[in-house]
Amino acid sequence: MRICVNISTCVGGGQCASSAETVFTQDEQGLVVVLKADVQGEEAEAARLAAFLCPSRSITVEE
Amino acid sequence: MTLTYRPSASDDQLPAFPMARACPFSPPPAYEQMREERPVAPVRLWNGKKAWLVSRFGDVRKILADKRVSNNILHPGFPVLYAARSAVFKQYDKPPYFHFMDPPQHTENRRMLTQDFSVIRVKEMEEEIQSIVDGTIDEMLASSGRSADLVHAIALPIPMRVIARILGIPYADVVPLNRMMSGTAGFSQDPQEAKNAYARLNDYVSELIARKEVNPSTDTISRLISDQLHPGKLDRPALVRLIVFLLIVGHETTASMISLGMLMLLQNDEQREQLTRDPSLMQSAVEELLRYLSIVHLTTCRVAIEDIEIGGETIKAGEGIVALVSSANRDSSQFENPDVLDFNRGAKAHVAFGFGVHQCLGQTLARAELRITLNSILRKIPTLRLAQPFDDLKFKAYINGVQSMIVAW
Repeated sequence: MRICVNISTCVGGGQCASSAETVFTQDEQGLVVVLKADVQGEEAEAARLAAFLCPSRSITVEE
Repeated sequence: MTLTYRPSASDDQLPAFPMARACPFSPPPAYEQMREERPVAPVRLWNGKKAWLVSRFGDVRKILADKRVSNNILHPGFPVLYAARSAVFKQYDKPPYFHFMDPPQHTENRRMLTQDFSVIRVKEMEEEIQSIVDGTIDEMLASSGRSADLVHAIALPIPMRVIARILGIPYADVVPLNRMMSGTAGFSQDPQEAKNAYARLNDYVSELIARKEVNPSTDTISRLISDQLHPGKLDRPALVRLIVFLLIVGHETTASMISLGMLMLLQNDEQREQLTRDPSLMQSAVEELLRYLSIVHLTTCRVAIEDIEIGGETIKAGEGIVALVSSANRDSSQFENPDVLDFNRGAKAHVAFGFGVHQCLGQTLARAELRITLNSILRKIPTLRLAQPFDDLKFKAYINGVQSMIVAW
């Protein structure tokens, strides 16, 4: 599964970094950073949850 | 089921909003009926204006993330839910707090603060939060007698001390500030008193900023002075309002969750014992308490800036919307047996912090404060019990919470 983020709409809520901590982190300003763009299994599951939780809908996942 | 929401064909007979609760831990019973029968329902506010309640989980998320709604509290159609709140905001010709702006201004202002509440930053602060929590609990235990008001001894001081530490507010100012802020929210508040409370807070923060300009430190206020105020990105009144806003949202909500959450645990022996046995369960317990109690149940108001079709209704441009997060969090299409408090549920997908770009900025911090505080209370005071009849407790209506709560150990 492939992950894309839109940094221009990110509001730094941190839901991604707390629900999929091996896939996402936050930069110095608190905005989203993708650690792994291609994920499988449990990480894909966590990334899907992160995309669902993202309040600004800045995360998209492509199966 | 009793019919508590009676939709009417005539606009003159709309039910009044906000509605009363039957139980302090649960939203008004009418919400359940609305989710089933009229998921987008018109109501009448205190000022005679009509607003639309959105009650289903999916619709609440949809409307709060919709670009056709505005969070501009000064828009004539915005649903302001009580008189004092209206009086406070009417003093301004532009939204005074970034929360009530829309993108791109909202994004720009919010990003001045995102670094202070990131997952990494909060993790770095955990030890400090733990020591604030321990110190506050120890103070209560050292005070005379074996009983205290948990709200004023623990629930209010902890979040205030944490946000004060982040902002760089002197420890000695925390107690007077808590008193100053007690007048900033509440339905029955006198409008003039509310304005005075905000004015006092503004004065305090202005003086604090002036002191920080002379003696800067590594705190958030000092950074905002050098990064935003001095280069002219924020003017002085805007910086004052930004800090005042952080103080208000940074303490009352978390305080309410601590006291109401603890009350819920004291009333539910089985769940409390489960957490005492296994503190690692606290992370999911906090999510479940956030979902179940949904204390910030009336602040997710918006105004439509275009016509919006949702839940079989058309919300017209200029009409007010209240996204009922407390109802969404009890929607059985999202949460199985939604009225059962279940710490094993893994209820992370709730909307207790709202949704959309205005979702709570401090949610990671709030979660950490709740987890550490509740775990520490259970560990340090295993004999804690409610020391007054439950029926005598008085609750707050705007941010759901308990006004005071006498406990003994």
